[in-house]
Order: sequence, then C-alpha cells, then structure tokens
Amino acid sequence: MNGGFCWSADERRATAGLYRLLARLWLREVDPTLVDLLNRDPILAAFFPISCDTSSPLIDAAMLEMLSVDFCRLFVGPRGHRIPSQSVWQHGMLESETTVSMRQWIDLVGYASRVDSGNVPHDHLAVQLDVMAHILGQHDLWESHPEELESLAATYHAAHLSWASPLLDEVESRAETSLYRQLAHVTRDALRLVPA
Amino acid sequence: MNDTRTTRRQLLRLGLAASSPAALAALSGCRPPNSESALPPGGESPAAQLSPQQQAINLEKWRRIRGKPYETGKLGAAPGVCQLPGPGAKRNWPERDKYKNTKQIPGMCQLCSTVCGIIGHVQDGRLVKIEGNPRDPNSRGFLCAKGHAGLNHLYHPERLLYPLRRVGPRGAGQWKRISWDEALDEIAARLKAVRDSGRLEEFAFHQGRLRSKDAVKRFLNAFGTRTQLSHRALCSGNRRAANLTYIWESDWDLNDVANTKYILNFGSNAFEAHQGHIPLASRIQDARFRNGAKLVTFDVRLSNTAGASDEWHAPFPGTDGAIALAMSHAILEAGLQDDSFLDRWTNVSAHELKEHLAPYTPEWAEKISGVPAADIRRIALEFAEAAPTCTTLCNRGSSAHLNGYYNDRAIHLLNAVVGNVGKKGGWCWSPWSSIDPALKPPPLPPTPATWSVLEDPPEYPLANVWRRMRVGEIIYLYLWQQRARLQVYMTYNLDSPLTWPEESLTQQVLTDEQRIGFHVCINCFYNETAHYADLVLPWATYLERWDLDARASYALRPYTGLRTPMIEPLGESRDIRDFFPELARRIGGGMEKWYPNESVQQYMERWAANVPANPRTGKSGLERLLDEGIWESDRQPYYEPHLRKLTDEELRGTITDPDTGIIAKDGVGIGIMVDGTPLRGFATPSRKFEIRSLFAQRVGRNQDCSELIRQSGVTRTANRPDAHQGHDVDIEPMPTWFQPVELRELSDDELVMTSFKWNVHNHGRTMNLKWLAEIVHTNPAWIHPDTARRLGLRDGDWIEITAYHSRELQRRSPHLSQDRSIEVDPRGRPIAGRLQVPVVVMEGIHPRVLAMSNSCGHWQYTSVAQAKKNTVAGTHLAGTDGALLRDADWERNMWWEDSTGGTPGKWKPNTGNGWNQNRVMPIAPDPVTGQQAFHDTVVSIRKIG
Repeated sequence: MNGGFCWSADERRATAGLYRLLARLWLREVDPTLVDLLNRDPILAAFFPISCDTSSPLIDAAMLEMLSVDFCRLFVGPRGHRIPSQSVWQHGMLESETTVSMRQWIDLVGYASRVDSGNVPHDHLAVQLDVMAHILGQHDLWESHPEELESLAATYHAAHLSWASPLLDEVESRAETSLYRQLAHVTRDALRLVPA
Repeated sequence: MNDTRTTRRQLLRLGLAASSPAALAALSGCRPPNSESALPPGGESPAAQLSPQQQAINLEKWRRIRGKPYETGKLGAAPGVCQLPGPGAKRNWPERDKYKNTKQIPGMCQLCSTVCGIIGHVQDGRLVKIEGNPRDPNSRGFLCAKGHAGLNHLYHPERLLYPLRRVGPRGAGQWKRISWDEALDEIAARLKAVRDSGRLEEFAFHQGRLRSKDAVKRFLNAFGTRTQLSHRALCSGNRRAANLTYIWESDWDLNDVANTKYILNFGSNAFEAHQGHIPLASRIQDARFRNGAKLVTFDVRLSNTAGASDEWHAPFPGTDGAIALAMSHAILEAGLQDDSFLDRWTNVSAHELKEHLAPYTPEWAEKISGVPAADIRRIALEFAEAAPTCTTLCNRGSSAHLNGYYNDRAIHLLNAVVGNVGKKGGWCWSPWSSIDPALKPPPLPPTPATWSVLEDPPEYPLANVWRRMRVGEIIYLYLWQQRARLQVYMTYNLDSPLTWPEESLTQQVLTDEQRIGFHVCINCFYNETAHYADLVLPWATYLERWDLDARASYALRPYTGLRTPMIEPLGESRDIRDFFPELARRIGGGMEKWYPNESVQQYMERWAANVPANPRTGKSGLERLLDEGIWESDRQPYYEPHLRKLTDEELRGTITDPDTGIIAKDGVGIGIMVDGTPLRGFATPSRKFEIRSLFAQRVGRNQDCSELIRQSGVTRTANRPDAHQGHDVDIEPMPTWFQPVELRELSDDELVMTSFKWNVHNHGRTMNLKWLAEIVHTNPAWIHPDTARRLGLRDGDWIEITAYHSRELQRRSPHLSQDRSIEVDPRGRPIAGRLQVPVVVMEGIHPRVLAMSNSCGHWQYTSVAQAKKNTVAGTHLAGTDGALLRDADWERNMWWEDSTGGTPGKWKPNTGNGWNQNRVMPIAPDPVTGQQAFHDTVVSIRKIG
C-alpha cells in the first residue's frame, strides 16, 4: 500500500465493498448463498478459494460443516477461542470501554446496521469494518466535505481498526481452513488501505 | 495469495467484485442490494428504522467534538477479567467519588450459595463495580472477594455466548454454532419422544447451584418428571437430617452467634466455607468483639477459622460426635444440664439421658479422638456455664463422614442438654429458608408421580423423607450399573466431573450414549460437564437475569431479595425463565398452559405483588424491589417458637390427648398442653425436641409412620415408598456414635485424606475468575512433619497418593460394588485411584491426615482456570503485539502458569492449576442419609520424583 487515502469515488466505493465483504465473513459462518458467490465470481474465488462441488449436496454439506466448525473453534468457542472483538484483544474482557466508544461512533456516523439486536458486541471486528464501509459509502458527504470526512475516517480507523494485528496473526496460524487463513491475510492488507 | 502482501490494485478489484449487485444480495441475505450494510438481518433496532437523512454522518457533531466521540479510560483501568495491578504496582485507596455518577441497580450475588444482596454500578451500559447492599438484613452490606469478582464472571472473554451443537463423538470437543431455534426444536423433539415413550422419569434435570427453583419446578412438573437431581448430598445432607430428626420444621440451624458468648465449633470453616459465609462470619466476629464471646474450634486442619479461634484442637478425623457425646456426659456429670428444658421440652428425661451417655466419658473420647479428656471436660463446662448464650456450630467438617449423621446428632444434642434451644444467643432456627412466604410464585403445576432410583435411591432412608435431599453421588454409579437410563439429561450450572467423586466413572457415563441418550448443558462457561454434552446452551449470568431470592436469615425472620438484569444478557445468552416457556410451547401436549403469554418482568410483578408499600416512597411490589433490592418483613425474630401460646382460634375444634398432652385438630398435631397452658411446642410427633427419634428408627425399617407424621403437623413428610421395601437400615433412635472400621484399624502407614475449601472459591465454578485464581490456584497436599519425616519428604517434594474404597461400606452398602471391577492391592485393600501431587509440610494439620483443597484441577474450564496463558499452540497471545498492545493479564500477570506441565522434580511451588482430588475420592455415601463422606478416605502415600 502506498499510504494514500482512497480519494476517488470509485476507490472509496471499492474499499467500502471490500470492507463489507470482510465484515460479513468475520461476522458469522458462511452459508450456501455466500459459498455460491465465492465460487462463481472468479475474483472472489481467487482470494477466497472454497472447493465446493455444487453438483454434490453431500460434499457441499460436509464442506459447510467443516467451515462452520473452524469458524466456531476460532471465534465462537467453546474453548481456546478469541472473539474478534477489540475489548477481548485489548483489555482481556468482553464489553470494555471500547464497546462504549463504538456505540458513540455508531451514533455519530448514523450507522444503521441491525447488529444492535444484542448478539454481536459493538466492538466486534465485523461491526467495525462495516462501520468503516458505511463511512466510505457516504458519497455525497465525501464530495462536499472531503477533509472532514478524511479526518473522521482516519480518527475512526486509529481508534477501532488498528488493534487487530495480533488477532490476524493468530487466525492465520490457527485456522484449519484456507478460507479463514485467507480472511486474516486479506483483512490485514485491507486495513492498510485506510491509513490512520 | 497467502505468501505475499496483496497489492492495492488487487484489493480494490476484490472490493469492486464484492460491490456487484449479485454480491451485495449474497452478502446481505434478504437485504435489498442497495443497502450499505453487509450485516445480516436481526431484530429491528431503532437505528434500523431511521430515514436515509438520519443515517448520514452527523457532521455538526463531529465539528463540535473534533476528536474521538468517547474517550476511553474515563474510569481509569477497565475492571477487566485479566487486568491486575501487577507485582510492584502502586496501590491506592479507591476514589470515593469514582462511582458517584453511575446508575445503581440492586441484585443478588450467586457466586456461592449465600446469595448476598448486591448493588451494581452501571455506566454507559456497562457494569463497572459491584458492592454489597446494606439493606440486606443477612449480609448487611458486606461482600466477599467472590462477590466483587462478579465482573470477571460477567465479562469473561471465554464466556459461552451462543448455542452450540457437538460435531463428532461426544466428548471429542468439536462444536459448531447453531441458532436458538434449532436448539429448542431439537430439545423439544427429544423431550416429546420421552413423553411418547411413557417413561417420563427418563428425563432428568440435574442442577448445580439453583436459585430459580420456581422456574425449574414449573418446567419439570409441567413436563411430568420428578427426576430432579441435585448436589445436596455432596454438601449438607447429614447436618440437615440431624436437625430434622430433632426439630422437623427446619433443616438449617441458625446459630444466633451475634448474641452469643460461647461458640463451640466442630469442624466448620465458618470464616471461609460455611453456607452462612459472610453473614455468619461477620456475626461471629461481632460477638467476639462486642460480647467477648469465646470461639473454640475442633478441626483436623488449621483452617483460617481455626487459626482465628481462641482455641484450636485437632481431633482424629470423624470423631467430633464422640467428643460431643463426651461433653454432654461431662455436663450431666457436673450437674450443669438444664433439667427444666430436658424434662419439659425433650422426650428423654435428664436421668435417662445421663444413663444413656454413661459410657461416653471424656476418657473414652480421648482414646478415640486424641483430644485430652481434661480439655473435653473443661470446654464442656465452659459451654454449659455460658448457657443459654452459647451455641454449637458445625458443617461439612463433622457431617461429610460415613458417621456424619451421628456426629451431627451428637453435636446438636449439646444444645438441648444446656437448654439454649431457640434462645437468644443460642442454637436457633427459622422455618423460612427462602423468600418471605407472603410472596407466592404464580401457581405451579402439580408434582408428578414418577419415580426414579436416581432421585430416590431406596438404600438411603433419610435422604428424602423430610426434604428431598437426594443422593447425588450415586447417580453416575447407578447409571453405570444400569439401574436406570436417561433418554434426556439436562444439566444446569453443574460441574460433575470435577465436583463428584470418582471423576473417571463420571466421565465414562457422560460419554456413554446408551446410558445417557441426549445431554443438554445449560451453563455460562464451557466446563467439564459441557464437554460431554450434545447441545450447550449459553446461560445468562446472575447479573443479567431475574429471580426473587433469599436464604435462611441470621436475623431469624424472612426477607426477599431481587435479582434483576443489571445489563442485557451478552451475546445470545438467555436464562431458563426466558426460554423454558418457548421450549414448553414447542413440546406442547398441555405444557404450554403453564406459561401464559407474558414477559419475565410481568411474571416477577405477579410474584412480588404482595411486597407492601414503603411508606416513605409509596412504592410497592416489584417497583419497590427494583428501587431497594430487598424487602424484610416486620415479623418478630424466631426465638423459642415452642413457647408460643396457641390462640383461641387455633384451639377451636381441637382435641387434647390426656396421656401425651398433644393438641390435634382433625388428627393433625398443632401443639401441646404444658402445665395447663396450650403451647405450640416443637413440630415433631411428640411436640418436643426429639432426642429419641422413633420416627427415624421406623423409617429406617420401612415401617408405616403415618401417625407420627400427623402428630408432628409436618404433613408433607413422607413415608418411604413401596419401592424402598427390602432396603431396611438400622437407625439408632438415640444419639450415639460409631467409627468406620477402616479408621478404627488405620495402620501406621495409612493416612486419612480430607478436603477443604478456600474463602475465595466455591467448589467448581470460580477458578475461571482471574481475581480469585490469582489468590488461590493450586492445591498441593498438606501433610504433618511426622509424616514428612517418615517418608523423607520436604516442601515441594512429590508423592503418589493411593486411595482406597471404604471397608465399612463394603459391608454396609454392598450395592456400591456391584458390576464394578475394582483393583485390590496386595494387602486386600480396594483401590479407588492414584494421584501424584506435591506436598506442603506444616504443623497445622493432624499427624494422621492428608488434606487437599477442592476447586482446583480444571481441564476444560477456561484458560484462567487451567492457568494457561493460551490454550492453543501459536505464537501470539491476546494482546501480545508489543508495538501496539499490552495486555497485562496474559502476558505478565498470569505469573502462576506452570511451564513444567506438572512434572515432579521440576514443578515450582504455587504454580499451576492444581489437581482434582475427585480423581481418587471414592463414592462413599453415609448409609443413613447418603451424604458423601469427603473426609474419610484412607490413603497410603509414597515419595516419587
């Protein structure tokens, strides 16, 4: 990465799209629709290879289960896992003050995802990536107030997207499926697109 | 892609691909493709309903703040599970004003059985501090270390937050997340199958600490099973049975220690491990400092209670009852007994009692216990001279023995002898062991008529007659012996492999799908029980859910406390109050009618409706409890209830037996005529304190006791069912004492292994809490210098413990050995197991005793409980990016991690997570009540390493 901000509208749009994709993958296990997408789109397939034989439902089911088990082992539990949440990685606990901070950011930027139904911590990496996608997706504001948006995005990034390096290292070393190894790898690079 | 850094161009191409309409549709599920969020639909949040304009960035606000919207660190260091000041850190007194702007929410602790009233300080939606609620009449605002560590419990990073289903064989440890819908559907299908089979008793609910009794009872009764299993026999069965034998109406003695002048403590570690915990310990200290009360403790180990006593005597294990009988003997010998109480209010005269106790001399007790007869006599007379402001105190130290029932009967007898029963400053009780009876839960379904050998084993006559105490430690054995089978097994807040004797048997049975068809585990954390489940349901913590709760109060009158969500449950954790109604509706078949369509709060409002208005605030019912947390009635303390005069209304329509003086209405005893005055008396068949219990004797022999039950007025007491026929047990009607043969014949190279509990831990559920684990995390065996000299042992050396099954039980309870292959050593001793541990050599233990604390030795219960910085291989720990993050916990402050893996010769003292003593502790139920004899195991040891 060259350290520059993604100034053009297309670049912002692409970065937002990338963050949304990553957010979805960090959030929960893949489902058949998502597997289908990752298999069909050649660019997506190149980054996130899933060897699914869609002509064989049994193999598909086994693959999905394997991915689910790996996701569970890495992020859900029940033991030896690390929830990909800033509180856990920064303070060794759930719901530290970084959660409160994320709530304030969500309020400030008008993020309207439905994650606050209670089942995902607000400082979960998936939410944090999606909030950045939301910020980058404010196309009109970026056109009218580019400096303020840049400052806001950089501040947000520094506060809530600069913590994940140890998590990504661990996922890369512990993942048993290529999907999640690759997720960590791509996320590490993607986080560098928006400089703090 | 993995080997090199992805280029900016590649990433942007990926982003564009992910922005295609097809991709957006796939990413957002049913969300329209023009949506900006990739996250899936959940519940409609207020934010989700905002218009597009409102969803834009608030630039005006951003210009105002010009920085981060929330500065972390406002409260200083976060109260993390892991963050600790660290060695050498500067410690300051808490800032008084630190929490003044928080929202204060009352609750009830549940990190042990004492359930102290608490207040949670909530700021920005986070619980930041827990302290005691001064309105709690029992705990009076005190809160122990466990209570403060509730923050660790709530915010533990390894908490269970989602339902899980096992993948692969049971016990293999592979899981995947499922939805609550999937989980409840699967459980409902399994439970429907149980109903269809007609064997409803094959659904068992097995609880650890349970404080939502109404919710469980409602579900089980509505389903139709009575197989509710508990751990009471691992805790307090003998003490309760001894109390009930004497007074019937309460299984809990509430020694009025705050007003006493002499406390005679047989083996209770009251300052650390008594169920009365802080309420009791604080009152003992009140009595000592304000009344000059004397505390005398008999304990095989110099516990923190023994160490803080005025006198400590270390008797031979299990001889408390012998000492107590000798003390009664000495008091009667000296003529210091209360003749008036004995002759008027017990069913044995002073003369008869003296004759009965004649063989139990202090000299006899000295030979058995090792405590000098002169001390026994002196203490007995001191105790009697302090009467009636004196009381005995006992707990697991005297009761968790094969002769524990007789130990505790002998101890309680002392109170009758000196006449302190029910007196202020004496040995008291109350009939209120839970919330104020004015508050009735919404109507419950009738109790079903099913019977299971697991819930009501016929070999233990006093396990279930007055109360359903059950015999927890035989459950897995009887399943192993195929005396029962379970189609569905639901465990709740339970850690049986760790806390039950014979860990390997427990594991074998939990793994066996023939014996346990389907296992659902409800817990806040993955533990040694969850490891053997088919489904794991994430349970809300006691800081996130509702209950009305209270304990038998040392204020001797009832109160009621409210447990209320201080914050919303984290993740997808839920309480049984929340999901049992949903499960019942899915099962159907009539269960649903016991669950009206209402919220948990509405249910609690109905339950708390009778809480009267506070004249100051005008608030009543649940509203008052939400405000104050606790309501205590204005009843008089329960002193000498037997002296209460019956009212004219009570006497209307009664008949008085001319021979016994017993006053009965419709054949049910309500009082006794004493010197022409109709008094309430004791709630026993004789309406007196029953030193001689014909009931216990008859129940033991499976004889009909209906008439005795009617005379007592405690009509919920049960005869033993037909299923018990053929299982007669001789129960001595008078207080007496025996010694198990293996202790009587203990050879010179044998020791008696006992267990104990620390003040900062409960048995199986607190070692995951970092603040507590740092204080106590390991449990080497304590041995006396004599033992150490004999074997050439020094501190930190390792031994192998070989534990033996009880020979006494082989004779008395042969059913325990059926269908089992038990190894026998060359001397014919049946081996229960072997364990290798290091030793600590100290004077503060009886020379014939080896002691190990419980709570240690977890192998599944979070990284903290296992004293591991990380449970997996890998180069990175949480927060170990030195350039970026510093997590003082994992990196620096888990100083007790044992890098040697517990290798003899290399292990360093005070490191590691200890050893589970239940690996070698044999199943050993008291033959009368079924209480597990945790303190009687004969062992031999040898030096290793």
